[in-house]
Amino acid sequence: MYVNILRYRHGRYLWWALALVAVCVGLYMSQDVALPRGGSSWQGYVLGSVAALLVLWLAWMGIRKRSYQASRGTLQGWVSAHIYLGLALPPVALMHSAFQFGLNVHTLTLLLLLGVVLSGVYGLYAYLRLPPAMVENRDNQSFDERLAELDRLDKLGLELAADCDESVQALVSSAIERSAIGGGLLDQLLARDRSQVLLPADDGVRPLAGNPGQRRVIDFLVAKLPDTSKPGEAERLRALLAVSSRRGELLQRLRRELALQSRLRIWLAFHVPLTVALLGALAVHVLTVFFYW
Amino acid sequence: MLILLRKIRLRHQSQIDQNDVEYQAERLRVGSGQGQDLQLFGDEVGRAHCTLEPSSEGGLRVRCHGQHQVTVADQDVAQVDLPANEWLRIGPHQLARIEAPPGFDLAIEVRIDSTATESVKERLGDALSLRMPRIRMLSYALLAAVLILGFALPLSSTFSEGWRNTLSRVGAPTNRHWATGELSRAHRMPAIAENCSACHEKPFRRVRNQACLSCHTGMSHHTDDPDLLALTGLDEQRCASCHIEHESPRRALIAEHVGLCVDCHARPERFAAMTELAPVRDFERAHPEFRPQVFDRDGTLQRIAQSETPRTYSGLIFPHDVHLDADVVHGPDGAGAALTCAGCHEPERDRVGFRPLSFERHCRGCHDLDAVLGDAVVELPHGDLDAARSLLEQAAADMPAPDVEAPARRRPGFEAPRGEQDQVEAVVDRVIGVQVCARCHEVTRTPGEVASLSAPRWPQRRFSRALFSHASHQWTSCESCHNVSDSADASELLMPDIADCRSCHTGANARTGVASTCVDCHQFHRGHTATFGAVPMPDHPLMSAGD
Repeated sequence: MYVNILRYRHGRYLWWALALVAVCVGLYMSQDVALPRGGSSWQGYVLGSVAALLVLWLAWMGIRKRSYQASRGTLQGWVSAHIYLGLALPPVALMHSAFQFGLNVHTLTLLLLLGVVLSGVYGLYAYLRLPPAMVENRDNQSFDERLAELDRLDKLGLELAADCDESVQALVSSAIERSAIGGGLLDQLLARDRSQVLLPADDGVRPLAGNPGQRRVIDFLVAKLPDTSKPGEAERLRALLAVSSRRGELLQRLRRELALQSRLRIWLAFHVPLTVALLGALAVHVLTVFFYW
Repeated sequence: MLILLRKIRLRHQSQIDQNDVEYQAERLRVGSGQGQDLQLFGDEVGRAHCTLEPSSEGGLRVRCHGQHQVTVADQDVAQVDLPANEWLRIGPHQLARIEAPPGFDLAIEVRIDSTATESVKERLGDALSLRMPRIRMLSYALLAAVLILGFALPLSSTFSEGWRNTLSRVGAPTNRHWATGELSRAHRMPAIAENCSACHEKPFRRVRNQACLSCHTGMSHHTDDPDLLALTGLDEQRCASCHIEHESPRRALIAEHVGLCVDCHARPERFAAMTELAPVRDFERAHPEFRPQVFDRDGTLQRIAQSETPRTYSGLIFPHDVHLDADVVHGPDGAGAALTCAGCHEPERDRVGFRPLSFERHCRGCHDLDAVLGDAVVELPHGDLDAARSLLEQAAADMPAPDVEAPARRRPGFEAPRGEQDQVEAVVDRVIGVQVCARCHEVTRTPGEVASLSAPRWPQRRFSRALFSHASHQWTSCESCHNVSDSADASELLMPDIADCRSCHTGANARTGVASTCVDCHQFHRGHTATFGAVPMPDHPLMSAGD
């Protein structure tokens, strides 16, 4: 049965995380007010150690999730713990730092840590919100089914256009040819429509125009409809209109599918490298603190 | 080179139309992709399939890209020199070099299967695959950046000062970026600020006291008794136990909080050496009452709690009320205003304490030292009782005896009758003990001896264990702490008690009032001889003995 990861075992790890933060707040407040609060009191050392162990444990998650033979605990439980204890990390680390910031490796470590957690928060949001959006976008049609339909429409469009006059023929084939889905990383993430079309022209130089949502083609066909002369051309144009509209929708859904998949994974491109950098910075932080003890 | 391309579109082997296109190019690119000179569709046509150019034998040289091939006489080849009018196949399409019409350098006829279209997957190609950053590469790059900028460069800067300066100049990180916070202002001199090893002598070793004391040579400890230090455990404390560096540029290096003191002083009974001390937690709520220093009648200096209303005997008779009463005292010239506090209690230049009281400066204007002996007036010296006494004895001996009648005519050869020795002593005693000296000084008179007095005594500081500065209190009136205008007796101790102080000064953590810490009044480093190599504790005299 599907259980929201946040409600795993009635939010067991939420309470663990809250307890951990509460204990750490107590430790932080118990620092001798005689001396400035910081990482160098014994409470500061304890808070730092807790934060460092949390970082290591949370980073180990990256290994744990790949070890399918591991038997201790369900992966779901691990992810739930990873989320809640990961969210507990910034307060613990901030209390360890006693909210002192500077241009140094220590604050760098803290910033990397906050970056990791923020990207993780986005990842959580993505995992909770994007799969339903994908289901909705698919509309009971798989990616391959959708591509097959597009293929069929392309061929139909070309066939219909072949029986129309030169300008329609050139326009439709160019529109199909230059229908774009992806592009670069940003195009995918934002589902940008970079489709183009070569417009018909009298002097032979056909201008290239943007064709988002196949609107250019549709507009052209609509404009063409009233002055048809050949028998049956109006019907062909209407059929082409239907094909173009459907193509526009299919392409848009494909783009959104790619965008959602991309957004579902892009956070890992921050979460993982930042984690690796954090582990390095954490080692430097600990080493340098004792280098200049 | 002008190329004629004759496109013949076929559908189910029958020609639909024919279309001639001219190209000005050295070769023709053929493929299914956009931007090809000749775009042909079909599953077997690659995006960039091949290029066509004239061969030297008048034929057509075909070169395929990558794994693509063309079919010539049922043979798949990747490269071929095709004679003129020989046909080759690319997928479902055919092409051949034909005889060029006049004006053209090359003519190619291509028979296009118009039913062949590119499959969607082929056309969209890798647009359908997700463009993800390379996470592994990013991770390594970021890790390398952190290790180089955060570790390698700063570490390298610890080996050579020149290299450190170079790094600093170009804005690269140095070991300065390993510091957990900025230096306190007191330590910003280049010898320390730019030289971490000035204090951090060896890597991975805590800063030693010796590093501090190499500059702070005159520093004393809490006491000069090594046994006491050992008993209280203070000998194991490091300088850095209280003085935390690299905290904040705004924060002084001095640890100001009561906690550092009351760790021991809240329960002095725990320490054998402190059993006589009263417990202290906080100035506002738990601080022993003041014990000012006073001289008793015998001239012994004592500290007496204010609840016991200590009296101090300086040897002077000075009613403050009379001297401050404008109806009585009219100033030195008899016509001026009444005395003011500062008229006698002149602040030192640093305004912490006061200059010593002086008869010449402060009393002489009103109080002369003239002793009237019969007709004679003797001006006595101040501050030298023996000289005054001999002057008086001499004058008294010259004074006619009051009970001897002066003869109407003095016979030559006979001295006028003069005072006898007993009478001289009586006169001296009267001047010192009643008429002149005793007006201001308390005179002691032991049986059988003449009246005597001693120099006035004031303790150098009333509060020997605290540092009070009048400088920081100079904008309040004297009367707000010292209630002197009603004081008729010089032995009254006109010092404020702890309640008076608490009317402004509150505990260190108080939200209202002047939150006051231990070190606002007390010093930690107060040993007098060398534990660390010490200097005497500075004295700030409130008053000192008159000159």
